[in-house]
Amino acid sequence: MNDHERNEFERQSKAVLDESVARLDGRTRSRLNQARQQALAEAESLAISPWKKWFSVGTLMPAGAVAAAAIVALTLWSGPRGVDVSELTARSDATTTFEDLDLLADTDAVDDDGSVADYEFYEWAAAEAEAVGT
Amino acid sequence: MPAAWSGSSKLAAKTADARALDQFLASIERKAFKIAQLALRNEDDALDAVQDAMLSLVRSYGGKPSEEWKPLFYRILDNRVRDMQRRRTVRGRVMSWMPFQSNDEESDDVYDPIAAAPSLAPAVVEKLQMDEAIGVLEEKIAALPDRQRQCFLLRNFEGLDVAETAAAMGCSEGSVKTHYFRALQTLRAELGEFWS
Repeated sequence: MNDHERNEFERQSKAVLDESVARLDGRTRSRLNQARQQALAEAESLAISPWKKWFSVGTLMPAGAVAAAAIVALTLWSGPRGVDVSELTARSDATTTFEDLDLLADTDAVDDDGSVADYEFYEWAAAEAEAVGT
Repeated sequence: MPAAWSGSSKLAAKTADARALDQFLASIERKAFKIAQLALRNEDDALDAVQDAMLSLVRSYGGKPSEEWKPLFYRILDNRVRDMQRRRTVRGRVMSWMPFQSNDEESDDVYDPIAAAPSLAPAVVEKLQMDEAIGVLEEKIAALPDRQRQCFLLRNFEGLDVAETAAAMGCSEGSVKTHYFRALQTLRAELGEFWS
């Protein structure tokens, strides 16, 4: 609506309202200015390309933190659990006992050791060697 | 066209857009604040509403042709004002059931040098007369029904034409004319004696 279309009452009321706007205090004017700057800053951030936004520090940092947390969680879940010393000792004792029994029962194992069966052979061989030498 | 040239022209276009938005928002912010204040009758709420409307306009409609910004902005502002009025009504209903209500809203009575900055007032007598005229007019406008008040302020104060006002209010041009006529009638009846 331009000024020619307004009647006297409309002109007068507009003038009064315009004056009330001109009298806005400094605090209000300052806050309106801040609001405008904030909106324009938002516009600027929207103008950044999606790729840049995707790879920005603000996006990558939380992603990195989530990845690190996932790795730690996986490590804790699949890694060595707590070692029960008494269980290990018992298991080791049982294994040793069974190995001893096997050794005693297996005569070949003693032969392989060479300490008993081959003794007479070595003695005979040594005597033969001496006899041949003389 | 060389890539660097293309890039710099895009940058220049963006800068021009930002400058145009800045100029537009600067041109309407005070009137928008006054319109929101008359609807909400609270300075802080009015500032919040204007700020939200600015952000919404920039986010969603910054790319639209600049001729469309004004009706769009006032449409957004109107929606925001209505949301706040609705919320306030609900809050009022809830608070009326509360046994203890505090009056913390008046806690920021600290002296603010910016707020106390001198205004552009002429002579003292004229200033007082104008203060009175502003007070009475704002009181009468605030007392109008919502649609009439909005229509009167957009048409007469902000200077939108009928089509733009209809777009801002989300109604037909016929409704705009009706609301405006009724608002004028009421204000004339209320203020005629005061302004004669």
